[in-house]
Amino acid sequence: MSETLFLKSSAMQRNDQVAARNRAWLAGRGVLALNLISSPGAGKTALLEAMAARWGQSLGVITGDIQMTFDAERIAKAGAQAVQIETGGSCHLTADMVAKELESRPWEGLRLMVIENVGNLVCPAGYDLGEALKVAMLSVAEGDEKPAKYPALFTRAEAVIINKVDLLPYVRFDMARAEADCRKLNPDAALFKVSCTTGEGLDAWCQYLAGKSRPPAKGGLGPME
Amino acid sequence: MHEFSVAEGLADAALEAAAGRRVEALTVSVGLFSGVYAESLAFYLQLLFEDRGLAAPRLDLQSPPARCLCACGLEHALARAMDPCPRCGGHRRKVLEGRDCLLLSMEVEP
Repeated sequence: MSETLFLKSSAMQRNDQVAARNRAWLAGRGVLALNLISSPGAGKTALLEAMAARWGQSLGVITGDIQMTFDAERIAKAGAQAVQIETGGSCHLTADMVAKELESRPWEGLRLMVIENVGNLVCPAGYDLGEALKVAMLSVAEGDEKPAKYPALFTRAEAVIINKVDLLPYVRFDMARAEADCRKLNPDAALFKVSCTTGEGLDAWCQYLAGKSRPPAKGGLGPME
Repeated sequence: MHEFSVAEGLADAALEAAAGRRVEALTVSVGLFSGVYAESLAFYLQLLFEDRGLAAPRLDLQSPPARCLCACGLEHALARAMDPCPRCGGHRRKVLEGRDCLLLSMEVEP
């Protein structure tokens, strides 16, 4: 007769412990941290370039890709502090990959940290990295059914960015449907319609982040350039 | 593909709790919002045990509805992510259970 053990252990236990340490590290320095998740090609790096142009070195980016360092190079060129994680095949970042990068450099003057996850709407959703806000991004070229198809991400995301709205005349994308589905999955998520090409909507997005950050007098995000 | 690292988390938790005894069966709950594909999880769990020279345990992978607390105050089960609250029809809710993969229980040799 075998013995039954009742456990209720989470598969994420170890990751969650490291994520809690990352969260304390970031909060202790007054840094607002985002976990930015989208499909490949939705425009994460273009968004970060636009944010780097506004905030310069007070923006830090840890960017994850399976291989190549193009993204970190682009973001650093745009003015932010950036470091690349090459996951070597892993489809998502984990809390310990981020912990290593947090400790890898001084991150001087940092006010906002964006962890740009590996392009993927599925796997990154389940991994807490220690961020304050999970941000989902999709582009209109991907189709309006993305929120409905990826509920694990869109129920968890506190903010949703719909990018490439300048392409709306050329693609089939029912904005009302995408918005309604986002609302069903998380009615309290903040929604931003932007174009990183034309700059439309980026002010609203940056103001939202400035509002989430500490006031500038206490070391928060300064006024936008 | 992240099912592999989820399976690793579960296998580690099981082997630790078993403290050297043979693990005969695992009961795992795959949350509605976990983003985990149960069949792929089963495949990796078997692989992980065999890779460590252990017999693969019997697996009972359950996909229960999530448990939510609606803004209207009703605690209810949720079978599909976009379903409304059965009482008020709203979607403003807190997910109480269903975001995670949990090792609920296991059988070990006595």
